[in-house]
Amino acid sequence: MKVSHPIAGCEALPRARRGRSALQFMLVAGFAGVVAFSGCRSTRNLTVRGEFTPVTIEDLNNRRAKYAGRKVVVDAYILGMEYGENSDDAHVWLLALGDEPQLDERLADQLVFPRIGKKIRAAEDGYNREILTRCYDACGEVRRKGERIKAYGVFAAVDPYQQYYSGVDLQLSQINIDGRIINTDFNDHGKLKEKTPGMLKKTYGGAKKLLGVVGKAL
Amino acid sequence: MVAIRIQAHKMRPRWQNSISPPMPVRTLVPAVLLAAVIMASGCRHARVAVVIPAADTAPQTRKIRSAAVDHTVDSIIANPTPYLNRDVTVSGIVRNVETEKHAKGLTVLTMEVKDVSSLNVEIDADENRPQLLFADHLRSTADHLRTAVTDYQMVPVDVEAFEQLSYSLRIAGSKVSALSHYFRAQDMMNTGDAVEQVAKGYFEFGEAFATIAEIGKETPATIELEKSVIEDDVVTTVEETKAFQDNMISAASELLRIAELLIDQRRQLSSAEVLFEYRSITRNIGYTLRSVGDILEADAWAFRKTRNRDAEKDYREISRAFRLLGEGITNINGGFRDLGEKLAARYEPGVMRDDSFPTLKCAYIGYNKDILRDCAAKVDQLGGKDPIIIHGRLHKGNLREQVDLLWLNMHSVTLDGLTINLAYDDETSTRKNLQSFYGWAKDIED
Repeated sequence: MKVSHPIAGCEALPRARRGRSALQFMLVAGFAGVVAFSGCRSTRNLTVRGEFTPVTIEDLNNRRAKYAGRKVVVDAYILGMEYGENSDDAHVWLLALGDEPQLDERLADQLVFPRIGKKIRAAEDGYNREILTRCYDACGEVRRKGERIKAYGVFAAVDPYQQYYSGVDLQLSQINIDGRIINTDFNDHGKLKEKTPGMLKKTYGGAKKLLGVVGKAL
Repeated sequence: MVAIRIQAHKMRPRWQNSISPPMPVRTLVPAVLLAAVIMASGCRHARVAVVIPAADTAPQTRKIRSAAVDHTVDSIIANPTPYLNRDVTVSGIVRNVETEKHAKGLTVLTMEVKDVSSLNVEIDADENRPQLLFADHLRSTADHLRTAVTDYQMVPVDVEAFEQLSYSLRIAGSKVSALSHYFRAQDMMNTGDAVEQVAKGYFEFGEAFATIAEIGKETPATIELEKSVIEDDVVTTVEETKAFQDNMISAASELLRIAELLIDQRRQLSSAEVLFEYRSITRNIGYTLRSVGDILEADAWAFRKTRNRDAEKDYREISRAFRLLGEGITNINGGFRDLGEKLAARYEPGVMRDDSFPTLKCAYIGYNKDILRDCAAKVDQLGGKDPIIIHGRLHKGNLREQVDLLWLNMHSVTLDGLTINLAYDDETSTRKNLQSFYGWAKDIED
């Protein structure tokens, strides 16, 4: 007995062709998704090749164009810091770095120091809140003691950065505190992992595997 | 029905048949594409202010980054017509910045900006105000106490002088305590509490001097003892000297002068006609004195161990005196520091301002209250002493309840090289939620 396909016309298609149709639909949908969301923001981890170039804050202030987009490491005192979350619930950590220590506790939570000429601002964001909060706390202690840190990152790479059109100069990737170099991107992950409920993640993972198997079979 | 469908299928070209999806899928593809276009157009839009014509709200990003300051507040206010409904970049001094709830979900950030030239006049006004030298006197007191402690020797002191000073310090304490109520009576409760702390310190100092005088009465002139004093992690051997007495008397005299000055200047302090520098006042000397007190207490126990009851009694008393001195100077210094902070918080940055300079009102209304509050906080951190650059469009019209007002619709603010985009994240919660959902979906596709 012939069992007719519930959708007219489809019974005439060979199995292989049906599989290709589904694949093409997924491609179209994927493309649509990329088009649709290309404007939405997310946190970024910059990857720039090459070694870190040691520079001073004065170098970065005076020869901005030379170091733009390059990996640099700068030896500096912490002037002040801000820590918070952005609208994507990613943690954002901003530092003002200068050539002189800043020991006034009342200025510790700010980024604007108009009386200090030579300074830069560095930023790091991500969902690796444990690493970022640990770095933030350690840097607070370093500032209180008037000690230096080494900030590693890409200079003038992110413009604009969050709500700042300009003024955030260094995208951090590592930081050296008391001789310990910490990768500030460690354990950072995408928004998907952050936002997706556990059950949905498993379902998605399962569906992906299943599709893979089906795709191979077809 | 079925026959028609089959017929339609047969009429299609061969290639089309091969990719023809089932009916629901065929309807889904254009729907997804349509949704994509809608969403793409919805992402990262500029804000739409409720009081501004839609045409004025175009994104300004690229222009802002290279914008140089091209106008002054005074020139715009003097002749606004050429600038109306045009983008301007203006530098000025912020005299007042605040955020408040505007309507459902909307927050308004407002600034009152004066011309940069007002800065010199107003700062001069601040600098011309008399400065009270509490910090200098307290530093001098601390120096005397530190020297006295370093040279401390249980030698006879001028009992009469110490007794008289103990009474004077207690009198000063009572007067300063009265002053605390004077401030409280003017609804300056925090200031009153700070002054009360100073008064407590004077009483403790007075008691310490009385204790030293009492010990002086009983201590034979021949006792010579060498003690070690821990100060700044350095162990110093103390040599016999009378510097202790001289420095203690000098310290008490300085404190009496400070109390007199505080009481004399009460009206000027309460109305901010005078200033005093308080940031350099620390409590460190208090800890030094308490450290000495504890070491003397240890010595007292050591004498107890050797059954030397007389020496033990003397050392226990002098230990108490040093602890009182430590607590007293901690309270005095801490009280003055708090007093300075409270008075500064009460009067900065709005005191002694020159009203002859006209003010330009600047505003931004948006759903992004976190960004606006953050901007207001950063502007506030400048304390009205450094210029900022404001980018925006000049309007003459209504701003909230104010009618026919010349005002600048800000779209970004630059302070200390940091340019804040006020339109960032300015979207309704519905749009944010949708974007959040689509962003999540995008990550799945990725």
